[in-house]
Amino acid sequence: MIENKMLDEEYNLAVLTAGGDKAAFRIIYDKTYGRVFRYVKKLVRNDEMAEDVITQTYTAVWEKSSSFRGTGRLTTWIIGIARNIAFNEFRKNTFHSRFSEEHMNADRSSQNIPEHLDRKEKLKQAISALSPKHEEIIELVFFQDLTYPEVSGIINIPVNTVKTRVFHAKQALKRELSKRNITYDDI
Amino acid sequence: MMTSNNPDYFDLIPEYLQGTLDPETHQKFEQEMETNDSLKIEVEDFSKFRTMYHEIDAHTDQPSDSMFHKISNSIDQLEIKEGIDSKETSQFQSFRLRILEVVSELKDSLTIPWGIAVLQTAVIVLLLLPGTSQTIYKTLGSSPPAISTQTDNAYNIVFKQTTHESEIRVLLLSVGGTIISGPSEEGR
Repeated sequence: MIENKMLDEEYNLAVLTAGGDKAAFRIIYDKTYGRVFRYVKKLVRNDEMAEDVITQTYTAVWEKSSSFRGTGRLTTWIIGIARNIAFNEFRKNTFHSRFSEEHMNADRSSQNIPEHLDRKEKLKQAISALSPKHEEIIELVFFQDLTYPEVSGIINIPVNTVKTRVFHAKQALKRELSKRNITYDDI
Repeated sequence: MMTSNNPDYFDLIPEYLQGTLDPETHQKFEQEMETNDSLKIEVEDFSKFRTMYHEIDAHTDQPSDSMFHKISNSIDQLEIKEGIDSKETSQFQSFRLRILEVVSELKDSLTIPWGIAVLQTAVIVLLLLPGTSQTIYKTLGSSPPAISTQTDNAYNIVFKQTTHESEIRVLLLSVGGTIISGPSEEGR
């Protein structure tokens, strides 16, 4: 039940952009860049690739703004475009994919856990130790504040699978935190 | 495995915590939490993780001018490429459109003359068609005297070619008329 006024404003910006309004496009870029770039950087874990994906993403936004329906948030729509582009790049094998089987099966639990890290660093490390799928879902749900249906649309999995994945991601994070002597109650 | 007593409300947890539920749904959600411990626990759990995650890493980059410049260049390149690709297509399409225009103009230009020609043909055909005698006599017999001595009205009456003079004279006499001029005094 996202505020309708915001949705209308974003839809109007998309319509203007579709009409070739570069100023409206710049506003879209300014409003969404921070969250989109953050998501892409976490997804691809490579600065060069992240910039390449972002360039392709916003070029696609310019091209396809007429297809934005305004039923959801612009950021959500753009993140979906960015994800598709990133996975296309993964398929081209231009960059190593964190989502490849090799990475998913990597034994993350054997990471060295220095004792001197402060709590914040330990929390960051715990999240980095998650599988790419769990890390992605936690980023989308807990930081990007996407609803389950929105995540479902971006990742192209059923809503129930999103909920299940969130549950398992939280369980995995709790395990990683406990390895770093951070209990659930300490969170 | 996560269990849920009421899947609908569990689906709404993210929106509840973001404060984006409409007032009515928000109220119902809070009422549900009062009686549904599972939902309450899940909301607290979700909130904890959300807060922690924001605490760990809430950084987002500011929009970069240099990145926007890169994107603009990419768009310009794309439009140049599309312009080249579409040029050939548009040349063919403009040729096709021109053909259609010429055909349309031809049709329009022929419509009126053809229309007039058809109308004229119809008039000629109608004029050549033998009329009914009733039509001729009906005109004179059924109306008051057509010629008034008080006015200068003139009426052209077309008789059938086979009409005899005597018949014309009888008709004229019946309405008080005479032949005053014509091809001959006899009305031929």
